[in-house]
Amino acid sequence: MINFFFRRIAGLIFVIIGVTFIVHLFIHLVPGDPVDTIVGQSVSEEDRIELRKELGLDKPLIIQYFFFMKRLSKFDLGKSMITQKPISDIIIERFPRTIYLALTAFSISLLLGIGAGALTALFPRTAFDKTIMVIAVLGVSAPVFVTALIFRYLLAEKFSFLPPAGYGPIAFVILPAMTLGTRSAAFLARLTRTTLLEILSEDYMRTALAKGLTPARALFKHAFPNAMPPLISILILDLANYLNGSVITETIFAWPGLGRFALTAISQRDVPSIQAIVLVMAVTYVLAMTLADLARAWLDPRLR
Amino acid sequence: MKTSISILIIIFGFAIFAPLLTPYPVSGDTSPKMGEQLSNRHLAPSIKHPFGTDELGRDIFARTLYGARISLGVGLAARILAVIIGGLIGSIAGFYGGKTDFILSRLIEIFLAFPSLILAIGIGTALGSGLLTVIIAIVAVSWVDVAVLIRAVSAEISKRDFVMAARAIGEPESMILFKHVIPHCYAPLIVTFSFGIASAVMIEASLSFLGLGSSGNSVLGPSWGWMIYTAEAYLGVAPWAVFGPGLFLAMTVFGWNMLGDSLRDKFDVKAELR
Repeated sequence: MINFFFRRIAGLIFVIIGVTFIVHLFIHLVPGDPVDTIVGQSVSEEDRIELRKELGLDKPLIIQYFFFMKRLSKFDLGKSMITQKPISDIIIERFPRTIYLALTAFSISLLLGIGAGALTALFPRTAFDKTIMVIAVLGVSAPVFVTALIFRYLLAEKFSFLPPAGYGPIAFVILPAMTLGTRSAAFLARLTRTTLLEILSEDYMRTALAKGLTPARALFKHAFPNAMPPLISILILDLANYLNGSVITETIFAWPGLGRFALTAISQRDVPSIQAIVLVMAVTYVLAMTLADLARAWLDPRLR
Repeated sequence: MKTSISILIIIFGFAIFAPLLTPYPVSGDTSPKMGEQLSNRHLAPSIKHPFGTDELGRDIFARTLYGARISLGVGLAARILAVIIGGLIGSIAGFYGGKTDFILSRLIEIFLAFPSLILAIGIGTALGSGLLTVIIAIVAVSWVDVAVLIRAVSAEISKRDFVMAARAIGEPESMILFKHVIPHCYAPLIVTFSFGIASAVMIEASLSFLGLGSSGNSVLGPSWGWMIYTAEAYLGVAPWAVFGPGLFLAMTVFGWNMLGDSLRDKFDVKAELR
């Protein structure tokens, strides 16, 4: 396990170096002078020269990358072109809100997805099972922004159960969290169902039932522990979907997190801010993936 | 298989025959009759306008039909490129192994570390909005799942007897790769091609929704994502404006996913496809 742990951490460090390198290249994807991209055109010639020196733009790419990493190590992500505030401050303010939204969505999807999956696995090929599975297929295929708008129209505009958009007490988080959770709940329901059905046909389940356990007890005592390791890593991998979905969901529901910040950055072509957002989200994602691998190896010694 | 193919044939039919299927022009009437058209804004769905009309009085059904062109066009173009790039990188890594595989695998790992839409947004913002940007962004985020799959498949194929036989008669390595290994990857390539179009279509719509795609009226017509974006502003008055493009988008994604599923079962490709 120790060996596996260190191998995995070494891989993580390497991937983070690669990710930062790619993100640092964004500035060079923009046609024209990188200085314009970073601070806009209304800057005096002396300032430009100074900035160029500070960022190492006159040096080769590799050296520029070291400059970038040096600033990054001090958590200096540059200034937002729009507000002139340090981007790191904006991220510290907004990232927790995105996490809050994602965690609420995650709870909803866990409850709905695993619940529906377990129920359908207990009653396979019934009308109930079929209805739930059709809903699940629809849920996986519908784009986030379509479900978002349907939910907002039905629950906030047609019938005012919930506030349509904004940031505030618990009622505000429900709509965006439902939207964000739907897709992964649908996905989870299908996954839980197939995993459980597979396990239910195993010999040890037949033994459990034969020795007189009720199906529900057999499920909790024998099936869940075996279904857990793969489910956990898939749940964490699903995080990418929350991060992807957060940009659109937060935009539609005016949720002031990182995703909505991305939209303002897109419309202003604020590349330094976009760099920071992509970086934070990618690093979050790799950290979670590494955690998933470690958790899975810890639960299932065969994988070490 | 039948359901998915029929759905896709219908959507392709809409894209190709859009001008024959609707009497309305895609961008609506221009100058002289503009006033008259504007008086038709936000009409609810009816026989004349099955999906209603939008904020400029244009027929949403017509625009949805034309919208299939961008969706399918961008989806196909991006996926073909992604399959070529990802297939080449994956098969080179799997076939040559050793150091080559080590380096390419690290590259694959780095790209796997990005949530796909987030990376696409980053690239899209840097390059500026437009159709070409969307295609580049989609290819940049989607070659990697092809590479992962094909690397595994080609590594397995490279151990087979016919590869050894080719080596024994002295065929050069690159020749073996292109003549024997890559052609044997056809089944997983077809499966991943189909799944990938579903996600390419989704990313295209998302980028357009965020204002990074082509603007409302490119040569090909409007994008569904863009149509939904404009409909969002009038959700309270004209909720139906979301329905048409939303339904078609979901159907297209569903169709390609279903086709991918049945192709996977047919070819018995065992691989975790995202």
